[in-house]
Amino acid sequence: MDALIIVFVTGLISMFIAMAKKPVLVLATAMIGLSSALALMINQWWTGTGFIQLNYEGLLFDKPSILYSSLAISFVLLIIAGGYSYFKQEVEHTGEYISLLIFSLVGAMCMIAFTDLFMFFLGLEILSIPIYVMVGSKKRDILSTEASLKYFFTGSLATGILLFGTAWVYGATGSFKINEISAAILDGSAKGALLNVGILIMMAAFLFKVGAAPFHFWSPDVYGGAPTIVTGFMAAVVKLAGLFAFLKLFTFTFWGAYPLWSGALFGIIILTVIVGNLSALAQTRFKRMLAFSSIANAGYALIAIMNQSNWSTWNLWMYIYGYGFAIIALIIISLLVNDENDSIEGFRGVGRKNPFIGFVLTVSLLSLAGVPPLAGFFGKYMVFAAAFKQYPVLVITAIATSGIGMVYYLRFFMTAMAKEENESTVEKLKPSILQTIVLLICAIALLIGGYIAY
Amino acid sequence: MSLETITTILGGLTIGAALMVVISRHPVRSVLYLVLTFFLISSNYILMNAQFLAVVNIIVYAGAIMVLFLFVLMLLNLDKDSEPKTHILVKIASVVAGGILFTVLIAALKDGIALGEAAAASAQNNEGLVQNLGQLLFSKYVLPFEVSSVLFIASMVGAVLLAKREKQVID
Amino acid sequence: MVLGSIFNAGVSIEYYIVLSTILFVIGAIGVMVRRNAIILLMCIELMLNAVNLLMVAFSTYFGKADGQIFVFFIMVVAAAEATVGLSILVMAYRNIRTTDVGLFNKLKG
Repeated sequence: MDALIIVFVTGLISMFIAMAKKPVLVLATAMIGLSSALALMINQWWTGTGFIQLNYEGLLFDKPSILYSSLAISFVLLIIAGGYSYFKQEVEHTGEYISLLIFSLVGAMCMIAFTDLFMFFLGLEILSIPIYVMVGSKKRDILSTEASLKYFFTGSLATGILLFGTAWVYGATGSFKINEISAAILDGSAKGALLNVGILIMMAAFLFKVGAAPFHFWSPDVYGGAPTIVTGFMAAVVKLAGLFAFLKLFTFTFWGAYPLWSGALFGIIILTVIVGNLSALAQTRFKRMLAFSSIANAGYALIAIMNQSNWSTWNLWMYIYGYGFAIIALIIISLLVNDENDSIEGFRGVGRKNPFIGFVLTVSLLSLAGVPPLAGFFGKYMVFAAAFKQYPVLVITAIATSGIGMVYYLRFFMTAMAKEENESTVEKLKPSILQTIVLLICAIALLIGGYIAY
Repeated sequence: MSLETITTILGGLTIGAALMVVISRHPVRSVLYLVLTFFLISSNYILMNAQFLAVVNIIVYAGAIMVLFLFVLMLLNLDKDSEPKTHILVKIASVVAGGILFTVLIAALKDGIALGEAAAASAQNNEGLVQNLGQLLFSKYVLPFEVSSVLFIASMVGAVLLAKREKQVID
Repeated sequence: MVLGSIFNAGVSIEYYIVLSTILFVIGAIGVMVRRNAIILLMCIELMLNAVNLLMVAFSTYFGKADGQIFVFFIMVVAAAEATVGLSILVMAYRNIRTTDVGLFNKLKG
């Protein structure tokens, strides 16, 4: 709870300190605030209690929530530090950009630690609304505007659908607390059409939000049109919060109705991994490729939700860990390359221009592809191994499609490492010190992922 | 007049007004029909003795949000002529899709819903009064209430950020 | 004047479930049919109101106030969402001079 308050206050201060028109101050505030929030989270992990205790039973930072919140805070720290070069371009708005991202983090933390649907719903909205704005933050750019409009409409439509499902579930169970809902479903006092339809409607809305296959149509457009750094935020933080809330709500709360929703989810996962990977193969633009790859990755992560094991929480965490750091590294490299058409060809020769960036790029792409010593491999391995006994068909499909995935990751890798035709025009990429540190942290996190997993 | 007649008439009027929101070609008419819908929904709340929400519904939705909509409509100067036309096939497909959705939802209910009797507590039926809700909101649910301030500050900052006219760059 | 809830006086809860489902579906059809972004936003508001009606009905039926508190928060969120949505619309209108969502198609391909 104390970390949540610190994060919110950090957002407020960095908004007001921006009036001094010195972007460095905003950055420093955000860094210090978020780091201390992270420290408080770690403190709460070891001591078991935070400094502020709360009598409200709707928000509880238990161990899984602390794990996921810390990961979310780290992602936001890296994104703000790495994207600073973008945020400071418009000095007037630096404070607003950074504070909106931090407010969004508050929402993500509410959505991670919720134990009743009040906090879940508010968290979801606090997470989404700043992102609608940030997607449109390039105000004169038509593509950014269009992406913002699309994201807003699909997002608020999904909210409406989610609420309709919530109302039906409330009608069936008479409560908003997740432990009471789960008890009512398990002891059979809640059953019948109200519950079943409510759960299915809520699931459809969730799939909208995490971008799974029949409901994914918005995500390539939005990811493609958004400013690069915001795309990174959506792919890492929004996915993290959405997937964990999905896990908490379905694997734990609607446990009693498992036969109902698992069948639907089974089909959706298969569709998602196939559509995501095959479409990513055909893309020529970097951010659209990233969007389809994130659709496919959402499909793999949903396998962790499908499978009923006590380790699901940990497996999903490990998966998002590997995925998130790799995405953030790629996004920051893309920010450095700064190709106007955002085409994959724009990355040609990046690895040769700057060997350090080449190294980070290699590590993150190999991790996304799932090559053994890296974090991405362990995430995939844990999720697949846990589900194999129960759903062999699902896991085999997932492995086969991640083979397709390897093709486009490696193709991208080859482009980035290729020799540039006319050597004379080679100009070196110059990451700032901050970006170098961020890239280094991402690479280290991906390299030591295996030690964390075991 | 019996209670059932009243609720049936109210329900019919609500559906009619909601339909007119979708059908009206003129955007301002749509807004006005939506305001009417909100008033009718408020009267439903009053029938259920949810007095606080009935008033808040009118103040927030009809009073604030809809006025905002009207302002934007006038700011952008939209009227019947600028209204984009939808292809007839899209219309038919949408109505069919909506109809299927409705049928599925209702079909799920056909076996009856096992809700049990109306709660005995609701014989008193004062949970929707201002006093009761106010006490809950500032004691039990005070954290969500405070957290919603984060939502407001974020949306306020966002709205100003987007809608403010930038200084024109001369190029 | 009826004493107590209307659900003890002959009105069934199914009536409100059906009514709110009809309103929700009308809103959903509106989202599919209309192309003016402002009307789209209004249809989403209509869907949220259908949800509110259903929640209040259940809340009265159970004699629990938490459903009505939830409706209060839905209204809070709807207000915030409408504000942000309208400002996105105004920004889009400045750039593209239209509110027709069918014309927002630069991102394809």
